[in-house]
Amino acid sequence: MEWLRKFFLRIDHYPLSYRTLVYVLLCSSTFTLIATAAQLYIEYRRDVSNLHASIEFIKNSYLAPISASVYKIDSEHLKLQLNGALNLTDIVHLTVKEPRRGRIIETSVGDLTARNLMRRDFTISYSDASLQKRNIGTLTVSASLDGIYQRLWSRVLTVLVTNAIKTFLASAGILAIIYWLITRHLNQISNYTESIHPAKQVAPLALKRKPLPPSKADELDRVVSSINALQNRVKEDIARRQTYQERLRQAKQKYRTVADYTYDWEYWVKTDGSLEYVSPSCERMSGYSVQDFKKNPELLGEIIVAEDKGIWAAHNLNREKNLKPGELQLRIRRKDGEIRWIEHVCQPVRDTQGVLLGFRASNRDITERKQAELNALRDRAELTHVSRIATLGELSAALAHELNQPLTAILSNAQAARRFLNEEMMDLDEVKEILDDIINDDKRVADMIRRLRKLMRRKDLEFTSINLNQLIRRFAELFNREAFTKNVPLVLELAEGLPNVQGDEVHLDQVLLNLILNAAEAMETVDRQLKELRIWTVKHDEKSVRVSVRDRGPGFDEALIERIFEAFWSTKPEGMGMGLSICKSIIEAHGGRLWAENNPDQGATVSFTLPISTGNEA
Amino acid sequence: MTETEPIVFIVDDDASVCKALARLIRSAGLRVETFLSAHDFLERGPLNAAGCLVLDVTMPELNGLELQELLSAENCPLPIIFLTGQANVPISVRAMKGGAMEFLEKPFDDRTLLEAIHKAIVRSRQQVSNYHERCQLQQRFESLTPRERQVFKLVVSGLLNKQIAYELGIVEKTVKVHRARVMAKMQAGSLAELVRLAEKLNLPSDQL
Repeated sequence: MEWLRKFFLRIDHYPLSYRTLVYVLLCSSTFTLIATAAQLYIEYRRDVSNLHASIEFIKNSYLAPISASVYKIDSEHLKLQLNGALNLTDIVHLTVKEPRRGRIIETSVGDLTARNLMRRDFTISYSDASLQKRNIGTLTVSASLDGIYQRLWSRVLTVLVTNAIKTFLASAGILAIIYWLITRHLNQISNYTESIHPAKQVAPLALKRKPLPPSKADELDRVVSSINALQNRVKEDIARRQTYQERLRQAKQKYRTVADYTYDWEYWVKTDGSLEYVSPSCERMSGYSVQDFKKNPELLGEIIVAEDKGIWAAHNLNREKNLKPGELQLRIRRKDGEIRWIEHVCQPVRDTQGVLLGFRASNRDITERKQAELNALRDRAELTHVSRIATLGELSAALAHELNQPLTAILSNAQAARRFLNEEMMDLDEVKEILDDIINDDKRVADMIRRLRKLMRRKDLEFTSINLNQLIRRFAELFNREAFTKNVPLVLELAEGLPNVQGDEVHLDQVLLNLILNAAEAMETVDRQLKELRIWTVKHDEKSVRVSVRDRGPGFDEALIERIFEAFWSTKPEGMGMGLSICKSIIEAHGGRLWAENNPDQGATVSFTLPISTGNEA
Repeated sequence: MTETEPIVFIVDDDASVCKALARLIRSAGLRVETFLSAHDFLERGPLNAAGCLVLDVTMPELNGLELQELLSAENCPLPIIFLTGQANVPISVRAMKGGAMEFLEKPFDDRTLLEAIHKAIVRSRQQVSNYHERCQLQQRFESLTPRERQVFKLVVSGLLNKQIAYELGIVEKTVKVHRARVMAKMQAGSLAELVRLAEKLNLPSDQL
């Protein structure tokens, strides 16, 4: 029984065989049963007809002798004859009843214990010489069906047992055949396909059987060849995919390397605000790591210093606008608290269908440049100031003279007044006049000192709306003196209704001072009668006002006229060479232009423009 | 003429300085005349009265130093007090060399200026009287004949009559006559006085 157990255990491994077997068994059993039933029915019918034949046989063969015996009252003979009939198949009992003298004499053979009896009565008659028939008794024949049933049953058993054995053997055979022809190959195929792995080199599948010629290839061969083809296709596909993957990996590596090694802080923010990519350089610039930014995509906005947050917010509202490089400069506070300047540029990223994928942005650390710019600005402001002081220094003698004039007048007036007061007859009108003069002179000194202090003071550019004509007039009032202009008559031609300009008074004074001193110096060697310094103003165009300073000196050397605005370029042996260069930088800082040209007749004209202020007219 | 009231001339391009100085100087009881430019002053005419010139160095067109040169060329006897707003050594040296009395830096104390003016007026008076004396001497000298001038020159150079006669190739007696006329015309009482007058005349040699 061990093998059976094993067999049933293995059934789990061969479900297909098992199922096949079950179906085959069911089918064959059904057919066997039907066939057996039919056969049994036919045999039953035959036995029953045999039984009837036996009874007919008794009627035909035994009834006449028995009638003769009864007639003759030959009991001996009668019994013999009845026993003879009893030997017939399935006849179990025979009884002859003959009425004799009022009673019935009964002669019986066999027994009546059997069940399923079938009884036939026959009339015993005797024909005498007159051929008159006379009933002399009855023959009762009892046949039993038990024999038939018993035979039928034993036949059923035989058929069932033989059919069971046959079926079992056939099933085993079928099972073996299925296993041999199909299941084992299927198992091999399934094991083979299970063993297929992209990393392993596997030989093509070959069934463990004698190979069939291709013309006789069966279904399994087709399965095998299609599996092999599939495997080849998969292999090729895998190889191709590996190639693509390798290429993709290399490309990714390449771009990743490019991105990761960028000096600038590169990032890609998606439309939902999360960060697709941040270059590691963010840490160098901000002190925060890539993870910090990925965790909190708003971090950049948060570390922007409060003063620049507005610029950032405004930019974020209109990020699709193309920024020019250098347009957006912000300060961020690094993790360690240091403030750095960054320049931000970004552009929308779109796929091939034009769908917005986010923004690619780049932050550049411009702190050094900004510092340099600020330093340069400070240096320039410093230089402008130094140059102004130097110019005033050159004028110190003249300034001392101009300051001393009113001081002298004041002192002399005061002393004169004191003397008058000491006298007996003092003239009060005179004293009053003296006091008025003193007051005027004092005001003159104070005005001058105020103006000088303004020029001396170090000051950054501070734009206000300026009436240029008024500025020039006041300036001329102060400096139109021999001490400054070296005997040069100053002529002003100021345009009426000139619009105000945007400018810094002190710096514009400095420009005028330099231009006037230069012009005056240029005319030092010119005949006194020919000297003239002319300053005029005119509306240059819709947006600017022009001031020109014209001298009657020798003019500039045409070959060098472009270089006169360079720093440290001077035609004067003692000149610092800063005057015109600083004038130019001052005017350019105002958004204007400064240029020089020689006059057609004599001397040179230096002109500058200044932007008209958006405020009221002069 | 020497008794005429001295005049203080002020030349300064700054009207208020002019006015104040004029007041101050007037307060010292002096006569003042102000000019706003050197040209105005030059146009004023003869300046041979006693007095002084208070002159600003820095002025448009003709400046103080240029005016000093012009006046000195014209033998103007006016002492000059320079005023300047800037103490500048080369300018002050040039001014002093040109014969300036004082070189005052603005602003100055009234006493300083007035003392300088007084000193200048004293000197001016002296100069004016010297001038007049020289003018008289000049007139006297010009009344001499050429021969008398020759004799005058040789006498004051210390030659004896004899030697003069020999020099001029004339006789000694004639020399004596000329000499007497020279003494009379020059109003010299003695040879010593004549020598002093000759010194005052400071005659260029070609005039002799």
